[in-house]
Amino acid sequence: MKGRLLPLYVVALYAFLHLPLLILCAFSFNSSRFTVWEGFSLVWYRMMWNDGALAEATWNSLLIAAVSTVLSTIVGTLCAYGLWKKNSKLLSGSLYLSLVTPEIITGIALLATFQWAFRYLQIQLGMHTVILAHVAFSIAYVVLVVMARLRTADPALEEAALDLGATEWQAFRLVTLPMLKPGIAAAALLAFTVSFDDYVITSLVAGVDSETLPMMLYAMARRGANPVVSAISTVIFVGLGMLIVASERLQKA
Amino acid sequence: MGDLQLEEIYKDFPSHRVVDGISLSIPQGCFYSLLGPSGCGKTTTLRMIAGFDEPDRGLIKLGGRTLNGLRPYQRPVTTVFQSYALFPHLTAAENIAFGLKRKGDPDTARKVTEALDLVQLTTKADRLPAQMSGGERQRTALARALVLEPEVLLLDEPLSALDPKLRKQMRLELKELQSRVGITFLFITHDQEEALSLSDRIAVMHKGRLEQIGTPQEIYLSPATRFVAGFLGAVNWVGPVGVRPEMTRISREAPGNGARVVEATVNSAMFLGDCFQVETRTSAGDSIIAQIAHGLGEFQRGERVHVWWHPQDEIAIPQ
Repeated sequence: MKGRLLPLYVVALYAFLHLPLLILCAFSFNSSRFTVWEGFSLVWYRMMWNDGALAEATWNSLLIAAVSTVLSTIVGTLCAYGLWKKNSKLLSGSLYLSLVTPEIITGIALLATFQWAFRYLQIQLGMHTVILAHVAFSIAYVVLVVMARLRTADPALEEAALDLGATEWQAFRLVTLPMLKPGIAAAALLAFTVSFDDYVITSLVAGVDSETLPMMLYAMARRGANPVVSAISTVIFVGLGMLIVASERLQKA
Repeated sequence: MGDLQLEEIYKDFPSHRVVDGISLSIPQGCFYSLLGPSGCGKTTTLRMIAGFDEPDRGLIKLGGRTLNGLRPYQRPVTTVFQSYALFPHLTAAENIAFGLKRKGDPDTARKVTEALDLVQLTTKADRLPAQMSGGERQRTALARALVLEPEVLLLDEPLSALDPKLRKQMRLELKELQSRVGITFLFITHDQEEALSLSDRIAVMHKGRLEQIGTPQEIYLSPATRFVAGFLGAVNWVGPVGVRPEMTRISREAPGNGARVVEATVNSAMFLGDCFQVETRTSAGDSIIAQIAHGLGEFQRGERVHVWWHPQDEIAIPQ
């Protein structure tokens, strides 16, 4: 009984999880624009490739994700290190609060803050506000991942470095940082993916010049079934998948 | 170079006083042990000498120079940690070179080779800590601390992570190493056998205070307090006097003149391999344990016997 049901359960579960993506992927290669299979075609991929607005949105998304990943990884790693040293429940607890805050609330709060600040600063919403917002919500993810690595570390390692003549800075740079490398890489990857696929917060704080790929996809999908959207989604999915596999390989090497 | 001196050291943690007025003088080149149960303050004492913690009051001096306030990297002492704290991303040779490189020592390569040779790790120089056995990690940690030629080497329970067989072997190596390099070793342990077999002198700590300082023989044979007597080994207490089980004899006939005798009934007899352990009870209800060699008779439960010992083997605690 157990021997037959378990494989069945696994198949059902994986189908439930992955079937929608497979359907999306399949229809991106359909020659019809409707959800009826009419034959294999790359026409939607060609359309995607030739769409100038799409290219711009992709560029915006990659730029925002890259800049906010670098910033949030640096700030988050230092923050995790400080929290680990101070060992304060209150400080780390309040940081994780930002993980459970509904995105829409975070977005509205950020928008309100920007609008208030812009009264005095003579600037407008744009790429910079999107990047700032992404850094703000990515930091907690980075701290979470780096902290997990620090918790398993031997606290005597830095003391050993000091004992052998290293200054505090050298102990951090030569011992703690190399030890944290895999954790930092994983944190950066997570920050990149949450930034790249964010819609809710981004759409609230974006300006006219900063439409991202998720915003564009959302707008296109709302206008009805569009195989170009399926094609883009497939490319993004495969791209992120390869990124994750590559980073796993890197960490093992 | 010179003696390490602690003068009236106090250290409070938020909940309690960990080190309560300790004064010690550790002669240069001595193998000195701080022995005590966990929580007695011995590790905190080591951390204050290394510079990881600062005493609330009191002075730490090395060869007359005060170490208080100096950062760990400014002190001529190095530490072998309980966990070894080897840098996981560096090989054995790189771990050993770490301190020399911080100092910019021009002789780094030669000294690393010599240190590897000293602890017989020449063939394992390129191994990462994860690829080493427990004994090899221990030796790497020793070499890493010794290569800096410290005036004092601090060892924080360095053998406790090893299995019992390896621990005994490393004990011999450690003793041998110390006599070869001639550096002062301050050895922190809760294992009385380790302290007795390795040390030139032992300081016994209990609840943040020093109970007794002396040679292994003095501490074991003439303990100053009941705590020291009990911590160093089993003691039978008969009123105010104590006697160790291996000094206690049992016979069916009354022993000759001069012996201290108590009449008792055998409660249990256990074969321990190298001896028999016989537990007896006196009419007063005291339990007296004797460890007797083979051939000195076997005793049955319920048998009436004479328990005796020589007066010179008694432990008398000064009042």
